Amino acid sequence: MTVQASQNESALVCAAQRRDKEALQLLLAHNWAWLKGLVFSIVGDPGEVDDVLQDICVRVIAKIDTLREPERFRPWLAMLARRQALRYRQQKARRPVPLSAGLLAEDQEPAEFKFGRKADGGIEAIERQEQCRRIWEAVQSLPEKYRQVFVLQHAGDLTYAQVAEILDVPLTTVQIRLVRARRMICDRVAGRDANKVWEE
Amino acid sequence: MNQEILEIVIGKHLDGEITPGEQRILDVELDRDPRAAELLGELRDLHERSSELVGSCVLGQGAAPGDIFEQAWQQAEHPVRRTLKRVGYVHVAVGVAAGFVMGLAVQFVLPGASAPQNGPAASDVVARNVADPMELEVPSFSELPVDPSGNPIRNVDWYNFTDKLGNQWLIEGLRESTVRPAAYSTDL
Repeated sequence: MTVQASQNESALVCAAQRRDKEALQLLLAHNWAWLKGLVFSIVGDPGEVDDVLQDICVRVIAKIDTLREPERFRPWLAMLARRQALRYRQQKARRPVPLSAGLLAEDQEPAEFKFGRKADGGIEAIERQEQCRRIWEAVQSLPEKYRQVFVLQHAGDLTYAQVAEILDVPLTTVQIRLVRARRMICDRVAGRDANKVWEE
Repeated sequence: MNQEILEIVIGKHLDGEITPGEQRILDVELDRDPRAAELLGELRDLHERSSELVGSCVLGQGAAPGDIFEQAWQQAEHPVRRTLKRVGYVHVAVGVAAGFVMGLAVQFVLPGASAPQNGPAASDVVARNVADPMELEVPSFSELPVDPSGNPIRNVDWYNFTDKLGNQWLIEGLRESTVRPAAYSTDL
């Protein structure tokens, strides 16, 4: 983020703290992509992301006036989002899951895969869909800390420094986690030692 | 260059984070080692597919940000509804019912338990000036209920009281928490 953009964001935070609805909406819209990616990487199910995002928005609306450093909005929002997503995941883990839901989940696949298969049925397209499916499964099976970095990098169009700021880790940690996440995905897609978990 | 360093540099290249110096090193490595070029192709493919997948499976799903924000704003503007959603309607109903039962208990049980005992320690005993004829109430025995033998039944307590001069007094205390001088009709 450039200095200009950062100043704009700080100005929006100040306006939002004065209960300016449009400023708050704009502020969240600027950060929506990575926020969604972060929530997904914790919750794990794209269908549940919106519920968590709404809860996060409610918290932001209620708590924005407690943010003392407007230039630290992004890490503040990330911390709030992580807490909310983790709380949601814990509550979900406590809820009983009906048997039919588990059977349905096994049969579910992202809309993009189904759409692509219907659109063209050529062998190349089918292979491509199959590869996408394997990559997606590999992304979802990543350990959480690697999945967070990987999804943030591809969702938010962020720099490494921004990812590091959001996740509150050093920049080198982001680089290393990204490399290892890619390696794990490649290995899994290629069927090479898919269960191997890297340790930092 | 070892494998992990090479992958870091390729990753930085793909993510647009590579410095000019690192780019020169990568170019040399790609010219020198065909496996590096193969790795670059593999990771570039993964990078492109991953961006597409995250875009379609995460960012492309769900409601529009404006709609979610609007709902959240409404929710934040109505804290009662927010509390109900968070706590749950069943919990709130149980809480209200429990409060109602507690209220009933306070209304009907506690007054009986906390009523002043009829005894000399009653705090609201009021001394009256006996010399004042207005305060001297002589009970009318004819208004009191009588037992089978015809004696009036008076619902009173008796207290002994010794004043500073050592005189002993027998005081009749009615249970309405008032004190009246005893009235003796015969040979008490």
